Amino acid sequence: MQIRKWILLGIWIISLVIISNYGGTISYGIFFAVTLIPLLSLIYTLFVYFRFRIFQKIESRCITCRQSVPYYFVLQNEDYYGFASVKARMFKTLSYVEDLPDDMEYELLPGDRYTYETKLVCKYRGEYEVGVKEVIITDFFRLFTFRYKLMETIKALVQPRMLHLEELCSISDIVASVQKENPNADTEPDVLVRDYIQGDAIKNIHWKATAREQKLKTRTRIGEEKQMISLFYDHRRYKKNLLEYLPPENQILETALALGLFLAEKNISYTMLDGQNQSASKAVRGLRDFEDLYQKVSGTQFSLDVDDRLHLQSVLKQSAINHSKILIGVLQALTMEELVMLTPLLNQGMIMVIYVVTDENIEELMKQGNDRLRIIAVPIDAELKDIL
Amino acid sequence: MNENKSNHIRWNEILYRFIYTELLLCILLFAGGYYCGISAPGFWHLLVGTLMIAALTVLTYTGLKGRLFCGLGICAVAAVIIVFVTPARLGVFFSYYSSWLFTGAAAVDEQRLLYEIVQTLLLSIICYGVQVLLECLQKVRIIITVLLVVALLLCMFFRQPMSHMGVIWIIWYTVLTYVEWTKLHWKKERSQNEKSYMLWILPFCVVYLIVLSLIPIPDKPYDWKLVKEAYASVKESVTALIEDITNGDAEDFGINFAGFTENAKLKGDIHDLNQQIMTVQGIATLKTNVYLSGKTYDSFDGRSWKVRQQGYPNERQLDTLETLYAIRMYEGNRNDFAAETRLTVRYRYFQSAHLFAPAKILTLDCDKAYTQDADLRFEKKQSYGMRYDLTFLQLNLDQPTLYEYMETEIPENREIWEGLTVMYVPDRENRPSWDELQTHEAYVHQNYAADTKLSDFAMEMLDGITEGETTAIGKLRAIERELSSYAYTTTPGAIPKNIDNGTDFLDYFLKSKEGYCSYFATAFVLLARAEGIPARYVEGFCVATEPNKEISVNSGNSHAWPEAYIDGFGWVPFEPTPGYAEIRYTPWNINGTVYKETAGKPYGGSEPQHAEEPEATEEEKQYDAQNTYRLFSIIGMTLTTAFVLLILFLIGERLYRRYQYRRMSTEEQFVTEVKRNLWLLSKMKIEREPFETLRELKKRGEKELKGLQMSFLNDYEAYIYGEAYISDEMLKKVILQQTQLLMLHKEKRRWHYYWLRFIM
Repeated sequence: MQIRKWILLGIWIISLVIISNYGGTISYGIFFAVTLIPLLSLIYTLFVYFRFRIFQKIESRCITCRQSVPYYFVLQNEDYYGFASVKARMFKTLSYVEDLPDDMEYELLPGDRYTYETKLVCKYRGEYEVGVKEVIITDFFRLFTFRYKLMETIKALVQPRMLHLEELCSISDIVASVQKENPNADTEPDVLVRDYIQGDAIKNIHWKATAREQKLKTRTRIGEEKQMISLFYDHRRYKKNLLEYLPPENQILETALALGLFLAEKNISYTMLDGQNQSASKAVRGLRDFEDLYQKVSGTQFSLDVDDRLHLQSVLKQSAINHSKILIGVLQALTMEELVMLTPLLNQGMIMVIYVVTDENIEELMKQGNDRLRIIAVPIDAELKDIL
Repeated sequence: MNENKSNHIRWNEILYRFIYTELLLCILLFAGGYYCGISAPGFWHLLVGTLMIAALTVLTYTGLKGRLFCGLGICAVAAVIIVFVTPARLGVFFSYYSSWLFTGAAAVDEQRLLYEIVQTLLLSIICYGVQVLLECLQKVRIIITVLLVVALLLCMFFRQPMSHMGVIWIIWYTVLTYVEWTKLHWKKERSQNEKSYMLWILPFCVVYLIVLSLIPIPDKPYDWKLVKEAYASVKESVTALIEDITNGDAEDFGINFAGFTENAKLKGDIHDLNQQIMTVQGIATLKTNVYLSGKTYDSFDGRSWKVRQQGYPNERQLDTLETLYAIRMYEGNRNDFAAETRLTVRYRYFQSAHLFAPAKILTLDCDKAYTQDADLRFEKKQSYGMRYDLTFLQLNLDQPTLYEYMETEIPENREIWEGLTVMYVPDRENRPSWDELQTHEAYVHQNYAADTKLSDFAMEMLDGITEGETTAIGKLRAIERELSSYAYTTTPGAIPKNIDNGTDFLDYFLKSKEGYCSYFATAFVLLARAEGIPARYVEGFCVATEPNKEISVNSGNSHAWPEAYIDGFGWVPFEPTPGYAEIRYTPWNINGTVYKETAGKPYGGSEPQHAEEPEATEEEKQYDAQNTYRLFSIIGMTLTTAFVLLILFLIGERLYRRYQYRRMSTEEQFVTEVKRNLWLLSKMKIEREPFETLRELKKRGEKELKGLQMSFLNDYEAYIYGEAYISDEMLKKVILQQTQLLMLHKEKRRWHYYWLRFIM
């Protein structure tokens, strides 16, 4: 197209030379003919711009990340002249349409109607535009294009996906130890019991031991029962550009949810800590609790104003930490200062696993890990099944 | 639905053929009709042609029934014609027609239209056949279109006339051919049949055709007047700005040479420079060459002229009025003595606060000027772009009767004087009275007629020069004659240091008898004053002008001359410098005068005519055209030669590189290709960093250029560390990956890709 424009310009310049030296119909005819071409092209593209209609629809506005949703769009010419070339360009950074190659040019004569029924997939969680992004009209001379953004785009509300993990390879040993000690586990660990004494609370009666020994047995409480695992994730937004912050945030939430779902499926209790609002922390004891957690996590508002250190401090100060043996965090960045903040807890015997969602090289940080502290890198666009 | 669609397509085809055949017919009729015996195609031709084409289209596309009906229709028309026009007359008609067609015999006037209609019918059939052929052979259609355009251009170059509509139809056909060709080579999803496409695009093309037909077409080439004026204006502004920047604080630039000096110093040898100072342009009534005075001086100290006396208010205006009065009082033909005319002065490559103007200014169109003594000045120095218009009184100094009149006593007539002042001095307060004129005369005598002490030698010489002359004019002319017999030289040598007064200078000059304008003017003034005649020294520029032409005034035009005051007439210039008399004393064409006296204006009746640019003669135009053509030819040939040489060089270089490449071994070719790939990567901003291994580069490159394999780097690494033997497969792989790299680059930066391909 550029070459055609240059050729047109060249011919126009030649026509200027011709009319400077020759008068009459031929020279001026050529000059006016060449000069009118861009004008005609402009008029035509304006006609098409004002008259062209595109219709698109998705089945549901609420979508889960990486799940296909039926989507269709219609191109139609209801006018009395042909549309030489119309191109519909899709949003493809945060979503894509299956089986529909981008940059396809359509020729629409009067009465033509093209309907495409396909599927739309959103890659990241959030609320953003999907479907047709802009329309490009080309004139029949194939000289000039007119590009305009669609005024009525589709906005989808995308929730993070729930990834079912069969196992957590990255911390399989830690999980195994947790499962052994889990009071909700299928096989009950050994408990200390004594004979029932008049006045003991009925709820403290260990019915299995009673059935086994044929006399009432009561649990001997040694201290309080500890929630084994605490989870938290980074609420901070690190970039201002949507295309830069959405992928890592999505990966953080999916990681947190994948971990949470895995633990819930294994009946391992945990608490999802909220660094900003302690009361919003959620204890999860099974899949039923996990559903509420999912809604809460889906609605997480990341913010640029969140202070990393304060957030981590606030997480570490929560009482649930004191009841936890294992702390799992999903962060977007981890500094040495934050590692230092974690040291007291490590010294108290806590096990920490920090998943850092980043594409940067954190090998230096990972070297800071030891048998109680594990730092695992999670690339932003990596498949979580391979990492977790 | 399929049937509907096929019917739809069929109708499109029918319409397409009909419209394009009609277009071909229009081209033939309007562009080539003359050659087909149709001098002025009109309504009947188009109607007959259209009906014929419609009939042929129907016959082609309809089934048996349609053809039958069509055939019956044609037969019915033929029958009607035969019935009304008897076979005999029909036979005669066709015999005349055939002789007109084949032998070029003159047509019978009443039957001419019929001949043309029959001709149109035949042309329609031919066009239909051609269109059928063109629909099958696209390439032939393109060739025909190109031929039509070439024919147009040839007609234009050889100035063959062609009808307006003929040209428009050809242009339209060309555009439609281009649009159709574009569509055929345009890959689109669900692309339609090109005939349907063309029909549905046609509305816009028809609008285009209509607009094109209605635009008025001039006969003459475009003169670019607006553009030229804009360009000249911009050029003036830019040059003025540059002049201001480069010579902002300079002294009155450009006047310290060749005789014109700020302090009127006689400098000995002078060097002539030829820089453009200003331009002057007169109008048709300009009869004389113009002396533009810049500064007048009254006192000479032996080496330089100075202005010692305080000037008289409005001295210049008074002088002009006095001369006007004197001319007005002449009872004979005043046209012989003086005429009003107009002059435009434009400053160019110099800066000055002086306003250069002829002696007898009547009006000055410049609000930046003011009068200082006998001179005109600007408030600030003016430079490039300064322009002012003035009207002045040009005197016929070549007219002997003028000098005779100067010698007479001019009577007093205060009414005429007041009338003149009213006419030429709009400001009532500044109008000089008759008494002021007398006062001025006394002032002039007092300040410009200071006694010059002459040596005995000079006195004796003066007596000899003016012997027999009794009038002031006579004496002045005698002095002028004498001095103009001396030698003109720009290198008279340095003036001796002991000369420090006018007397000594005069002795020196009268003995040496050589010098340049300043010397002669000085000598004249001193000698005139010795005779008791007021005289002054003036510096400025003398310009040999032509009416209606803009003349360049160069530094070499600077000049000095004397003026002597004649009682009752005013200041009169003289020209004692040898070789300049012809410039000063230009014969007037008395019969061709444009000056007329009108009522109410005692002197000066005609409005100054504005300069009209004369029409260039045919020869001048041809000469200009030839010159332009020659210039363009030279430039064109130079550029073409350079271009051809460059192409040849590039081709040669390519061939040589290719030859060298073929002679390389597989290993060398592999290394060459790898280096080329690395170079390509660097152009895509993936350059190998210091201490970066090839492996790391590969990893980084594959990450940045997602999906692109760069395994050639592994092979290269293996090769340079001596592990691998380069096989043909490795070479093919590196070339394949080079192609992939290029394709990737093409997607991102198309034009850069073309450039890389060009230089690779």
